[in-house]
Amino acid sequence: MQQVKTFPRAVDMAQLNAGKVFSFTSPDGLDYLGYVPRTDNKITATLAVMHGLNRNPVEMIFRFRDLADRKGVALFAPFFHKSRFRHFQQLKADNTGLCPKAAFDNAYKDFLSRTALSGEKLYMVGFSGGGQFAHRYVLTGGEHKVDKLMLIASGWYTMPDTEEIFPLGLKTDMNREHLAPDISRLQACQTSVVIGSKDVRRSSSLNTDKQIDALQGRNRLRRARNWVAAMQQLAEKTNAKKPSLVELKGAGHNFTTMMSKYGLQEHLIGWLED
Amino acid sequence: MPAIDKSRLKGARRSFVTRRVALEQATRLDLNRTPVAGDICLARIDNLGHHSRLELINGRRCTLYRGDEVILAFAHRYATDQFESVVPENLGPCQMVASGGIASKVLTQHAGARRATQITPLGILCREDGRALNTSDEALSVATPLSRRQPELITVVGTGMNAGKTRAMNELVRSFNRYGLRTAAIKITGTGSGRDYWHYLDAGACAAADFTDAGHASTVNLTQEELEKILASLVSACSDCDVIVAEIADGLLQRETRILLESAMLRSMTTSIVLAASDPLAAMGGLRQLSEMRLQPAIVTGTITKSSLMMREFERFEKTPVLDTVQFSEDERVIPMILRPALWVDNAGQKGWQSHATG
Repeated sequence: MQQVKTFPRAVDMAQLNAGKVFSFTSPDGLDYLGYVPRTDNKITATLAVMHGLNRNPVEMIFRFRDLADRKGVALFAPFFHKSRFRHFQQLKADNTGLCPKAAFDNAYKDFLSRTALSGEKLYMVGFSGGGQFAHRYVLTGGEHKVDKLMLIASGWYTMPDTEEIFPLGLKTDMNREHLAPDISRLQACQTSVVIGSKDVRRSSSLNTDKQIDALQGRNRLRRARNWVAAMQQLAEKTNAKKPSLVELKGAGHNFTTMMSKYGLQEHLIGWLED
Repeated sequence: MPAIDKSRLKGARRSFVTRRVALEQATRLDLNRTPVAGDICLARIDNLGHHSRLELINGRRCTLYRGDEVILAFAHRYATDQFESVVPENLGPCQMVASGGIASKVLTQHAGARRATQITPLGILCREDGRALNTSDEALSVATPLSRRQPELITVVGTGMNAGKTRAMNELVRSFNRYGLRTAAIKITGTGSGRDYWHYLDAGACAAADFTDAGHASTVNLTQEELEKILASLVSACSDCDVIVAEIADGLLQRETRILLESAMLRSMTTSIVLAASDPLAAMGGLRQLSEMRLQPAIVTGTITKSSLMMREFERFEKTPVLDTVQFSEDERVIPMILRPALWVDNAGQKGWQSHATG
């Protein structure tokens, strides 16, 4: 006689905890936050929420709950602690050699398993350093296909330049061969860049490397414009998807006010509906 | 029923638990009524005892003297380190059993507590039509329906009185605020006192409310329905916040605490549970009690963390993280720890989301 399986079903747990923010730690030891909206409809898409260098996935996931409820998407927000993943945005490994990209992949698998979600679609939105992580994750071929990408107020970008070594350009760093960037991956993904029209301060959180200044511009606004222009130019040659650029009038480099005052929330809704 | 002189009322010390009552409606003093919980009385201080100060509606703790007239509320009390008391059956001499302004009749007391302050009720304050003033008169209402998505509710429970719940509450408020969230603090059960209420505000809570706002001078002997109504009205009052940290008074063995933790309403609202414990054995007992209710605290904190030896003792036997509240607002790993889900399905010893679900 077949033994009856008595373990709790992940689907039961998802129902018990739907509509609440929760956290878990992946088998790799990466903390992540999650949110599954209460809905009778099947949830097929997850929005991965990538924090910046101020490491505040907590506020981001709280501010995105309304969006998740309205659009019926789950939220997944990994937490790259400073003490372990100081340069997660450049995909630099921790001291055990674990790459942030692999840590993300394993944590996302853990999230899907615990919540019994199908994970048919993955959207990714990153603020500041989170935007850096997000486009580099796609460029270097993360395990999970990203269907839509939004980069908000990123500090700098990997340019479509085959002469510069990753993460500045597309040339593979021979010391990190596992991170071989391929621009076609990014071109296959619907990408939107959002930047505040007043995000022009060279604050302490901005990378002011001379080479980046020279290649991309001296502030986030210029760098966003230059990267989008370069990607659009390349797309014209290769007949690929063009990234869009949205400048939020009056916004500086502040996630909270971008959401509450400068229309980022509304823009996100439209982006998900596209 | 004699009329009450307004100037006499104005001169009386008005206690914290009566703060929501419309005192200007009091025109009569009923000398013969049988008091019920929440009734507002004018009383005289006969002999000072354990509570020599009275907390006023503005939070100031006013020094009392024999002969002072005070405005208190009748209520039961359940306090393991002070008094067990009930609403008296008549307006004869009784005791003031809490500095928040509770008139009650002491049944038992902790050996370490001084004799309770002796009072004589001078009458129950009534309106012109004879209706008694009661703490329930101006209670917060419950918004109906409760909004679809509530703020995240972090429920703080303890192994007993003075286990460190309020300290944990305050540090939770500070931690969530640090992440840019609007954090409210509520106290669902207990005996009316402004002490915790003011602490919550001092810690930076964007709103604070307790069961006295919901119309109860204390929550002893309330029914499940009444306790759930308190919960709903306090959550409703803080519905524009991101997070509500909610304190349940006393220990896990206390009647109202257990009713609430078994309540479907609280369970459906609760995001996670924080357990404040006094020592390792109490913490282990607390985990067991919660486990029997199919609840899993995210962390253990409280006065156990005053001793690193006690923390190590606990860690030898349990996997639940034990955290000093000092870490709450300093360590970036704390919030993810605190948001571990409280609910799990107990099947074959598995812990649902806590373990790796196999569904």
